[in-house]
Amino acid sequence: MRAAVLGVFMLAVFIQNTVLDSLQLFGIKPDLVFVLVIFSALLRGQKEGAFTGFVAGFLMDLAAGSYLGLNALALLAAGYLAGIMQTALYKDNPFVVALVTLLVSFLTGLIYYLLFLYLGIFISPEMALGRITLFGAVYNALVALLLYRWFFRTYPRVYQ
Amino acid sequence: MPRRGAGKKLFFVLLLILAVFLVMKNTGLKEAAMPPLEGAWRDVSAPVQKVCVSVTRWLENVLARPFALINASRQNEQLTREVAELKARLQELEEYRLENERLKKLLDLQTRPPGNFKVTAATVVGRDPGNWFKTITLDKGSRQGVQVNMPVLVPEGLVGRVVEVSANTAQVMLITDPRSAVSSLIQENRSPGIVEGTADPSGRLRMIHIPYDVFVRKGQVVITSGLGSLFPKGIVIGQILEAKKDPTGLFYNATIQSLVDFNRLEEVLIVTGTAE
Repeated sequence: MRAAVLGVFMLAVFIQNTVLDSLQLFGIKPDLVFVLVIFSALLRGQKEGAFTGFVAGFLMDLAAGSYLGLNALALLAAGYLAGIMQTALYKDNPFVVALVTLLVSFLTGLIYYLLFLYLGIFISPEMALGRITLFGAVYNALVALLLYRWFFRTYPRVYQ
Repeated sequence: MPRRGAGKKLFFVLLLILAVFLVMKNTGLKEAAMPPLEGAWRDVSAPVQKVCVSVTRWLENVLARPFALINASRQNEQLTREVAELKARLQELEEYRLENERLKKLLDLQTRPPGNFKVTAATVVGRDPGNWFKTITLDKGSRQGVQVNMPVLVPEGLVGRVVEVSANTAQVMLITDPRSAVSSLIQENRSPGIVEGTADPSGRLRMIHIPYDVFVRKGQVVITSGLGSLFPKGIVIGQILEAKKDPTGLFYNATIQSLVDFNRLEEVLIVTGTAE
């Protein structure tokens, strides 16, 4: 992983911690770091996606200050899942990218829920999978739709 | 040979995942001072975060102003009416307060009135990056006398408690966090219960273990009970929205709406002690 890519993700975590609070809709904020992981997985494949997800998630864990590895594991899975679809899909279509984001976002929510059960944190399934995950997935898909063109133009240059 | 190499890689990946599972389980909130590295990172990033949050809020206000003006006139009328009503109610309550003081003197009670706290104001400079946990970072830490487990309030009610401190920052777990539990009372009938966070994005809470033999209805105010000594007695938590019997039939469970807008917290008060 190049230093520039790491820098992009550090900046994304910082924005996630501060500015994105102002973009909350019904108490849910979009997950910029997650969307960037999906984008890089769609560009670079499942291994790179999983690795990027792990590192980005670890940065989020450091920012959150507890349960080190929770976001790292969830985003590792997200990067891997999105990477699987890399070759099978026509990723130049923004709606395909948004759909992948929606789907992987929902599956990642499910993974978070299972990890919470492992950690002994109880959130009702309706709340976790309904309001937080489903609404968050729709919001992430909309953000993906807005950002994908900029990202797919810039990211390969950052990697060179 | 390549197959053996791939097997080795898979083994290491699985080992890494297993290690992460173990680390995750052992790095939950410990309610203590932050580890030195994390504390230093928070102290360095807090001023930058503060500037960033201030700029965002300013922008938000500028963009929202035209919309706010549209409602201002209608709101003004409504508020004038409410002020008149509340003035009358205040006079009535003043009578009750004086009566209460007289009775207390008669009974020689040595209780402290709720709200008699020593507080220090702090600004919110960051939040948990995800949608699952509800924590905020404040710009005051151990150097300003903030300690773990100190309650955090706003005039509308209870916000949460300090769970980690560094030299210049403090992390607060909001009462809406799914890991939070507050010992509480229904103000009107003094029935005890526990208010839990539900991770609900709209800030709703759940009160459990309310005895089934009391009358629970919409609008009743829930306050802290003071049991367990983390939160002083009498801080407003919220109002009951609805109540249902739990599956065992022995208790009521109630949905509570806090009066605090947890999504828009800017400044809060940390209770550092009780006034003499």
